[in-house]
Amino acid sequence: MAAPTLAELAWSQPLRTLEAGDVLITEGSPGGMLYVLESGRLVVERDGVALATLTEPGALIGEMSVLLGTDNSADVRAIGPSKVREIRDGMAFLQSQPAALLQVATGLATRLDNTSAIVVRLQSEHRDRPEQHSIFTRLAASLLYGGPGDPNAP
Amino acid sequence: MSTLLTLTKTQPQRILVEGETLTRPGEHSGELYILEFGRLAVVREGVTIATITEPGSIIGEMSVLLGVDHSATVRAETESTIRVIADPIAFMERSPLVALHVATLACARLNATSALLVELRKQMDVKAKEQGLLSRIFAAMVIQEPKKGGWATHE
Repeated sequence: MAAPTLAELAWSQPLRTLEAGDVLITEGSPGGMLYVLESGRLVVERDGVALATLTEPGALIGEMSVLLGTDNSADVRAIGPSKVREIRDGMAFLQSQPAALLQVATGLATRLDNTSAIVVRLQSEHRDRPEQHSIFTRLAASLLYGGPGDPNAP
Repeated sequence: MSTLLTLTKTQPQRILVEGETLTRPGEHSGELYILEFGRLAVVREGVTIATITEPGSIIGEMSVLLGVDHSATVRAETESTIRVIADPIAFMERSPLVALHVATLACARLNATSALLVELRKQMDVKAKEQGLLSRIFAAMVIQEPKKGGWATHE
């Protein structure tokens, strides 16, 4: 049996409708809420720079603030009519829904993996340019063990 | 993360002798490991890229979550004891707190990388910025591209 999708797991949560231009999340605002995209188009921005566009139904928004207990780290805005499921207490939802939690963990692992693949490729493409190469080496280390400084690493 | 050791107390222990290999790239054990004590080296292409000594550290979570082979060699540098979770997905479904630890850890790594990326973007020269190198990395960190395979795929 296929594991239930996040959209299925969140179906009983309140639905919020956004028009183009509506702001869902503001950078620096308190986190803790989770949103699951039902339909539409959202853009993720940081310091006014668009980082990504979310269009995939089931895409999760806000999980980093829930897991790390931090403020929201980006602006999220609708760029077309959109619908999201709104989960007010993200942590309680995840703890009561292990399947959702595993989906979140898998999503994070996928993002880590995709990021590592790009960083490793850029690292090897810039082998002859020491300044860039060292940047990608630091990024690769951060992806592998989560911090710039592992004192035990060579 | 000593609570992980408490949460996995019932799982079987395995003792690794000095020099013993736990995972190899290209292999897929399907198991999740928690370090109880000892010292493990993570080796990629002959180079030690990290050393794991913190009790409660998780090993193998990417392979488990993504359903892919191990990407590195993990070898005991000294005699080490680990807990072995043989069926980790089922185990995490029964123990949400363990799943929460695994998710939080992946999240912390993404967050640290994201912070580093913001800092590096300020340092990078204009030419590199124009090439949009860092924006490609940012996009990969934010978007979870649907992937085929693994234990659960989005339809």
